[in-house]
Amino acid sequence: MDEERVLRLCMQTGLLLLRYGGETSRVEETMAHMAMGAGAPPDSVQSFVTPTGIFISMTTDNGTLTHLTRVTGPATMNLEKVTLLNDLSRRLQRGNCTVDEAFAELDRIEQAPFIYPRWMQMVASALSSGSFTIILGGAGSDFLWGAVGGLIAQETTRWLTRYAPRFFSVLLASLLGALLAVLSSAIGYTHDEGAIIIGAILPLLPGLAVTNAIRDLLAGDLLAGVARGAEALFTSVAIAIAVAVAIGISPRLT
Amino acid sequence: MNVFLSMVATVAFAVLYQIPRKAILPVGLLGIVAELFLIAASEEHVGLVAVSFAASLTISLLGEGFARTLRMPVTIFSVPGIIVLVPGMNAYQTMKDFVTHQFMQGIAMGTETALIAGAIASGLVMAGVLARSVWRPRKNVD
Repeated sequence: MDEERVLRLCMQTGLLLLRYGGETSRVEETMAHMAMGAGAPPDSVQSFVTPTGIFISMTTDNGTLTHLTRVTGPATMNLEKVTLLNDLSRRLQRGNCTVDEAFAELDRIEQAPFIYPRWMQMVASALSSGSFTIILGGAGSDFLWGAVGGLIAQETTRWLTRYAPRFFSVLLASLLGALLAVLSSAIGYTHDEGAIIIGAILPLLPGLAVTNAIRDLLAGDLLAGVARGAEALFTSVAIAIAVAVAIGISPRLT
Repeated sequence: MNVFLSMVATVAFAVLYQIPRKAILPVGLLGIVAELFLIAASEEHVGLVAVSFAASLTISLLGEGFARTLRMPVTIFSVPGIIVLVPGMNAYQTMKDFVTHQFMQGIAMGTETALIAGAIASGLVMAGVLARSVWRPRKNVD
């Protein structure tokens, strides 16, 4: 067994998992499974994963080998790739795949295009925002405003996260979405301003962050759980401030 | 109509997270379940906190079941599944009360919002613990 190579395989898988939105407890588990599947003796591999960095070390008769990688750059949610990486580790663990094949598969997964292309995501954010607007009590005509607001909010964050901190991009995106709702009702075309605002900010809700935080805390990954929870709280505060600003402006417009 | 829209909203939200194609049908089903709980709540006049907990528990358990049969991470199902339950209107009302200086109402509404959010989280936690204790042995054999 080539320890260096096995460790590199684990590290690369862990990084991808974390980037695509896997919870840290899953990352730790997957790396351990992969190492064992690649031939490392049980319990020889220890890892410590946080949302901002991965530490992994392997102790064998030849000594201890340690890798440390910082996780930087914005995360791109892609649960399909998380599933594929999961399958890969399972195959390796069962012995249905060699380390070389695993490396090739990793590259394939990383380079694979998103299953839902850009336009489909835009349609999806418009559809979900519009539907939510009506569920929350908006009239049929509010669907359009909610959908447009959601689309604007989603596209703004997608574009801004590359240049600005997440707090700022979410703040600006939800502000734009909410302002559109406020403006549309100022013109007098809408039935329920509140429903449109909430529908518009729906795509920005930190659903995955909250769920991952809870799952990490449950798995005993206290540090990662709290960190993810703080991230989710941060995002929620940004959204709340934006909504408060929009509501505050609203009476001045009519 | 609302049931159909909940399904659409849930599936569309799931698409934003790039869930695998095979998971779309189950996720839509979870959206329907969530909306049915909310409808039952408003017809039977049960408190939103209790209903949110029951709904979130049911959805997360179903999600754990789907995850095991389809061999996919649970988050694929539970994240979009509970989106319909999120107390958006209450949160909005809270902010509105505060902005218009109706602090007492805002605090009351904010407390209810927090309780609902807590109930949803507790449902997730409960389902996670149950699934871990029940399914753990089989998972080790894998």
